[in-house]
Order: sequence, then C-alpha cells, then structure tokens
Amino acid sequence: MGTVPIFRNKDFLAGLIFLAFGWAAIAIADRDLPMGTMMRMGPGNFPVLLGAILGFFGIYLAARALGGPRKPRQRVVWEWRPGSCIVTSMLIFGFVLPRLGLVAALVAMFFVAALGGREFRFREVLALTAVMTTFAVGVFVLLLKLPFQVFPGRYLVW
Amino acid sequence: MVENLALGFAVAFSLQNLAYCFAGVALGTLIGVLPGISPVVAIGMLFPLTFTLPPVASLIMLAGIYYGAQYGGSTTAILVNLPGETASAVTCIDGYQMARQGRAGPALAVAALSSFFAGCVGTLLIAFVGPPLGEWALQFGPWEYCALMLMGLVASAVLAHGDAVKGLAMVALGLLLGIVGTDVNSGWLRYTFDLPELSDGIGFTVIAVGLFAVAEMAINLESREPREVFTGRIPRLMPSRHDLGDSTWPTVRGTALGSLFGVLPGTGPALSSFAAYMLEKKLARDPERFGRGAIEGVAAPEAANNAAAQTGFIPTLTLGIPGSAVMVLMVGAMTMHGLAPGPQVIAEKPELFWGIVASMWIGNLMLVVLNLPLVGLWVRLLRVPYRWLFPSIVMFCCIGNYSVNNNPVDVYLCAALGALGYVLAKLECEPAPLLLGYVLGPLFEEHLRRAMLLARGDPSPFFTRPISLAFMLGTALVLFAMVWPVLRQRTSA
Repeated sequence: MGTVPIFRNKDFLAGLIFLAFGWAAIAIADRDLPMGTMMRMGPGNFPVLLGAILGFFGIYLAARALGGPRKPRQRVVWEWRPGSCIVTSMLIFGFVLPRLGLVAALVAMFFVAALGGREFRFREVLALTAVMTTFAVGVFVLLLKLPFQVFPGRYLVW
Repeated sequence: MVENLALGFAVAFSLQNLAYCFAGVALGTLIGVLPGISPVVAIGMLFPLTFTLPPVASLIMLAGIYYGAQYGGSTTAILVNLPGETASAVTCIDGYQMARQGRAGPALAVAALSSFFAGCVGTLLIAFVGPPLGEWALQFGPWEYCALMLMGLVASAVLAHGDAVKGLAMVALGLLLGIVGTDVNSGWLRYTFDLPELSDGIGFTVIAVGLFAVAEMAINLESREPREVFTGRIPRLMPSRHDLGDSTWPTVRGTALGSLFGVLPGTGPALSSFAAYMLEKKLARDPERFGRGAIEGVAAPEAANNAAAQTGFIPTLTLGIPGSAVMVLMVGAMTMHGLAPGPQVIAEKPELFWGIVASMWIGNLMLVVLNLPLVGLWVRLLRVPYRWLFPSIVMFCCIGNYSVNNNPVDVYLCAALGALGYVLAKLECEPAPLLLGYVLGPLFEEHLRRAMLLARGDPSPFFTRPISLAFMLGTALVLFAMVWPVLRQRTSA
C-alpha cells in the first residue's frame, strides 16, 4: 500500500501527454514547415520552440514522478462513463443535425448524454428532452433565426 | 474625462443597450446560480447568443453575463456551500455559516452591497487609469508587447493553483493550439491535417466550451450531488446597522486589494478574494470568529473579487492582453466582431470603450436592484437537480458551436477538446493558462517575429529597452518565486 503504479501517477501521465504533444508539434513542423532564420523567422520556427518547451516540461514531470516518492494523492482514478456519454452525445448531435434536422439531433443527444448521469429515469429524460427541444426550436430557430433544418425531409425546412 | 464618461453613459443608456445589459445580468445570474456552472462556462455557453448583435451591445451583454454569473456564484456559495467558481470559494467559509445561523439574508445583502461598492470603484478606476495607460502603451514596440505577454503567461501559470510546472506546460500547449491554421505572415498552413475547417484555426468557442464546459461536466458527474441546500425561508434580508458597520472597512480594504490584483496579469479574482480574507483575519481583534459566520469574511472577499473582476478589464481593454480566463472570453468576443483590442481602441472607438465602462456600472447597479428582491426565486433554482441540468448544458454547447460556422466539425472538435480537457483536469492541470496561451499565441508570435526582424535577428533589445527589461525582470521574479521554496527546502534538508 501507499505506492502508486507509475501508469496511475498523475504527474507521470501528464508528463507523457505533454511530451507526446511536444514531440508531435516538432515532428510535423520539421516535416512540413520552413524554419527561416533568426532574422526572418519562418512559419516552423515558433512551433518548434514551443514543442521543445512543452517536451522539456513533459520529461521533467515524468522524471520527477519516477524519481520522487509515490504519494497516494498522486493516484488517478478514472471514471469513464460520464465523460464518454457527453462526448458521444456531442458527436451524435453533430452527425445527425445536417442529416435529420434539429429535433432528431436533440432527442438523440439528450438520451445519450443523460446516460452519463448517476441515475437515468426514462420518463424524466423524455420530459426534459421535450421541454428543451421546444425551447431550442423557439429560441434558436424562430427567435434568433439560426439556419437549422428542424425536421427531416426537404419540405419541412423553415 | 467628464465628457468621455458622458459619452459612455449616453451609449449605455440607449434603450437597446440597457435592454441587453439587463438581459445579460439576468441570464448571467440565472446560469450562475445553477449549481456547477462557473462564469466562464456561462459566458462560453451564451456566447453564440450575442453573435448577431452589434459589437457594443454584444460586449455589454457579455459583461452583464459575467457580473451576473459571478454574483450568482456567491449566492450558491452562501446558500449551498458550493462555490460557483474559485473566486467565491472563500465566501463559502463564513457565508454558509451565516446562512446556517439564519442570517442568510444579511450575508446575501452584504455580498451584493460590497460587490456593488467595489464595482463602482473599479469602474471609476478603469475610467481614470485606462486612457493614460493606453496612451503609454502606444509607445510599446514589439519587444515590450512580447515581454509583457511573457510576463502575463508565466504569471498565470505560476499563480494558478496547482503545480506551476504543469501550468507552464499548459501555457505552451495553449500557444501551440493558438497557432493552428494559416500563418498570417507566410500563408503556410500549420497543423491543419488537410482539414479545410482548420485553416482559420481552432475556433475560440470550441476551445473555451470544450475545455471548460464539457470537461467540467464530466468532472462534476463523478462526485455525488452535494445537496445540503439551505431550504429554510430567508427571514430578513436587510443587514442590521451593526452588520453594515462591521463590513464597511473590510469592504474598502477588499476593494483596494482586489483593484490592485485585478490589474496584474494572471492573478485575477480568485487570488484577490483569498488574499482579502487572509488580510481580514490578520487584522481582526478576534480572529477565531472567522469560519463561524463572521460578516467581514463575506464582505472583504466579495468586494475583492468584484473589484478584481472589474479592473481586470484595464489590461484587456487598453493593452489587449487579458489577465484571466473570463477576460480571454471578452477578447475573443471583440476579435469575433473584428475589433482588435489594444491601445488604439480608446482613441478610435471611444463609444465602444466608454460605453462598456459605463455599462459596467449600470450592470452592477442592476445586480443589486434585480437580485436582492429576487433571492427567493434564485433559491428555488438551486433545487434543480444536476441530472436535468447537464444534458441541457450539452445542448447549449452543441448548438452554440454548430452555429458559429454552421458546420458539424466544430462540434466534433469541441467534443475532442472536452475529452482532452477532462483527462488533463483529472491529472490536475488547470485549463485557464492554456486558454490564455491560446488567445495570445498568434499575437505573441507576430510580435516576436517583428521584433527579430527589426533588430536583424538580434534578441538583445528585449533586455536593453527599459520597459521591456522591466517586464522581463518581472517575469524572472515570478519564476524565482516559484523555484525559491524548492531551493530552500533542498538546502535546509
């Protein structure tokens, strides 16, 4: 007890993420972008600098986690369900809206998002969806006149 | 000065702008009161509502949302012991104790009144300090801008709560996200992965909503709903003469402290409210009252965070360099309307600058007038369960992002950034420095390139030009303050 596996260590994981972003930034800039000179900095110059800084901090964090004492406070406990439900519901919304219109997109979004909550009561979600969808159509489409298709099919475009 | 303020009030008192100010304050409070929604999220969510408005009206409304949300945050701090944002975390300590002792009314009233006082002082400060500062900033060359931005970025990373190294890494990541898109100098596409949607860069609402709203919801859903809502009726709203006397000087001191902190880049309301609380505790004759419902513990931090919120507009409006996440949102809003915030704004668009300044004061006044009588309504809102709220927030995030370009790619990106933000938040990396880096990224690079070009590749002007040197020394000081405790520990151990 008391020790944290390294792949559960917050500092180590954060370090890895930063290192990955830094490395990717440098690799892509190196492949695609001219560096220029000190006097005329090219489009690749600043990104490489930032990538190096980011990578340095990443290595520092990871090394510190490897070398330092493993405190239990450093342990990260993931809980995937809420986050993945919300993210999935957003992806579904983006996919459905241009194809089947706002109402269908919102119904799908609400039900998937609500699955991420602590409790899922079907009737409650249904009522919530109905109220908020009406609200969205009223405010965003009728009032603010955002160019959304509301229902599926060509003839019901507002 | 006087005619400028008069111009401002003429703009702000137009029926249309008054209406937007009112709408902003009301919506802001409404959303800020709902548990688990911070001002940044509130602004990010309601941001798309203001697209279609004229620039002045849109900024006035956003500023109103900000005050409203902040005020709503202190209401939840007092009544539910749930800070809407870090800035009102300190208010929880004594505010909630007061509520439990049946003094919720006076606590809310004092919070509102001290915020109002601080807001008035802050507005005056903007009116007096802004223009000279803007004029001074007109002499800035690219070196000074670079150095100033560097100082702000480093300060935001080091002073944010949590690990300073992670903060600095988040700044670097933010700067990188900021330069995605077409390079303005050369026309090269950078990090766009052949997606045409990315050639204009990652949208501002995408980042703000993804990192703050989406990630925050995922985090909120992990904890059980903290539901010890103060359900009793609020018997008496107005504080007694004694209460008012007790909170006068703390309010003044909090305002002074907050105004100072607000102007400094990277510090913002959270730090100032904490500092104000500590100061009052130090000065009090009987410090043990603090934490048990001392009214000073509500008045001082509330004044401080509102003053800081207000004076935070000074660097934002005059230099174009935002100091906190919310100010970043304001700059984003200005940029979307084609206004580049900076010293030229005051001279070229006086009606915009002074209109916003005046409307801030009006917004503060509306808060007091609107919110105190409506406390009962806000209390009822507190009981809305989070499982109804968060899908609705998701809806606003989706529609908001979709409507910016009428393109689903923005929604996908926002979801992806939300996932990234969630992971980073779990690893105790603060999102605010990243957002600051994201907004300043292109500006920083542009000034850096110009500086290098003008000096023919020689970096020494950064350290030989006096103003630039001063900012560099400031940066060094902040970095030293971060390293010092570690060094001291090493040598003594």
